[in-house]
Amino acid sequence: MNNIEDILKTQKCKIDQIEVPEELEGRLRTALNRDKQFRLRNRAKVYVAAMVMVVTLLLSFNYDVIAFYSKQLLGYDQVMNDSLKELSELGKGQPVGKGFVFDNGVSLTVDYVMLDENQLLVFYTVKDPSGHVEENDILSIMSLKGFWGEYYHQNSQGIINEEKTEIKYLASFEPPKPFEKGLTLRFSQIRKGTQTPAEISFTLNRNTAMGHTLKETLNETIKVDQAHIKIESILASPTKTVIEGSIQNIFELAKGQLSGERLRPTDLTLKLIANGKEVPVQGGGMSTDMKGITFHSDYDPLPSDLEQLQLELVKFGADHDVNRQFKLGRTNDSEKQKLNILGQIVEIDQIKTSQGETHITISSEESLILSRVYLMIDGQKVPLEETIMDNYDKLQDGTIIHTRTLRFLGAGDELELDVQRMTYSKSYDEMLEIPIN
Amino acid sequence: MENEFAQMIKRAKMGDKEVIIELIMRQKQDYYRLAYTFMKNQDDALDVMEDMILKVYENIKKLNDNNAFYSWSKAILVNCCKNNLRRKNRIILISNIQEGPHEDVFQVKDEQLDIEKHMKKLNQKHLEVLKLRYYLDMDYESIAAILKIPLGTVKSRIHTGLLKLKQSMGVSN
Repeated sequence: MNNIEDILKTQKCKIDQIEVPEELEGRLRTALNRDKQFRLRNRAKVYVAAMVMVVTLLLSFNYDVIAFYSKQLLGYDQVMNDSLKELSELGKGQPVGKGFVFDNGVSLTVDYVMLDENQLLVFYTVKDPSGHVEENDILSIMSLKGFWGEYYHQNSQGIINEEKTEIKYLASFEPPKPFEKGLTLRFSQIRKGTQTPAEISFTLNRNTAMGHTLKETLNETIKVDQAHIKIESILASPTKTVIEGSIQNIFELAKGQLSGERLRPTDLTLKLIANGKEVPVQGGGMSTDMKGITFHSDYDPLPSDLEQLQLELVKFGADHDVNRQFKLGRTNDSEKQKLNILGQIVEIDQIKTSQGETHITISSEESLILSRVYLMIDGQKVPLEETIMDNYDKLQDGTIIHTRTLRFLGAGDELELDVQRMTYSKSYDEMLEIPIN
Repeated sequence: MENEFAQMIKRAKMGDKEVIIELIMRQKQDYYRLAYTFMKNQDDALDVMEDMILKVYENIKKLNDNNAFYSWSKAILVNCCKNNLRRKNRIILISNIQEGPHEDVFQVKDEQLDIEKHMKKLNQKHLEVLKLRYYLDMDYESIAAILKIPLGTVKSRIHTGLLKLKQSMGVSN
């Protein structure tokens, strides 16, 4: 028992050396003083919020947004066109025509906005009369500030004219909340190391908003190796189509973490097929947070004469926890050893020992990577030093076999490959019918 | 001296913030080390001390026995620490997911040496008494007052805690 107490006492010495930081007193004082203001502000906030609620309730009866949604509710059929150009020719959008001029003569003008349920598109022009428009650093980090929140820039593209005096941009923002009316575009210019902020305010006309063309909760589940992909919803609007889904919810995520069978998706390819034709992909994303692992895939708008809509799971790949050891036999070339890891085959082509190092040559399907691997040499765990001599072979049936050599420092008689994690992708052709009403 | 202390508590109860700060600064070392033992880094230790002083300020009127100010406020500090750790634990679960390939080789080595790792395996109730007893050199009575548990429980928890730690580390004798 004394022994432990001694160890604990050495730990105590460490604690004894800890000095109280000088800032402590100041921190305590500010904490106490902040407290009071905070409380007052909080109370004021509640009153403001309550007042706003009452005012909104009163005003909302003749607010455009209600008109806009009631049309939707009455089954108002949107006229749909693929391209944005056609949409704007049909008057689906709102002219703005407001601008801002910086000190050096560079200007930014918001020409047009187009709103639907998926995004707010802002058409704007940057002009530089001196002909160096591409050198003017107007940051693409922009946001739209509304009363209820701030909506961020998602992506944009632009075309520059030949004289280099102007760029026409089309930028996509998150859609503002339905109550939002006045919006302020916030942007800034960086020149000679100083940042000049600027704003353009405009009022959103909800009557020109386009809503959606197809909105369905799907809740379809597709089984893949060690996981289920849940396709949750589709939201198609005149400017784009978004599929949302999840791979693990927060409980599954936590369960995987605890049981040591985690899953980290690396590759998810979904194909959207409308009337038998593939809809072009615009983008997509995946995130892991308090909601679990969620994803979205973005496609072009759906055709107006939509008769059939299908979603195909093409490919899914993930990094899996394996935590298994595989005994390596020193076979000759006559018979290769095959490891079956989570149903995937890894072939051991050769094991060579030279100059105190062990080189193991393995081959597998192209997408398979042993993302965390150790070698147990006579019971001792050795980390992977490097992977050398990569080689790809294409087989007759089109599959690509990746052969490479894993180099470990150290040599011995008893070899065990300790595979802790592995990444692989697998092709699927699961087809899902999406109901269209 | 006694009188002055009583005066200070009285003024603190009337809402004098500076007095509360002074009372705490008089034993700043004790408070800070207590917080540090739980939180293990300066930033978090300072954060929980901020939480504590607010709670002290809000609740000092409810303190009946003036002489118990220090054990009472330290009990508050321990509670702040525990709440904070609980909150942090919830978050760590998610953010730990991404890891590099080699880091746990070092971790394994460290684990064999680091008593902290073994202490983590202990039950929270055993862990806290051991820390208070050995890291902060508190006597049984003070521990009982701060954790609000009977004296006998403190003793038995220290005994069991040491035993479990011994098993965990594989230390003989």
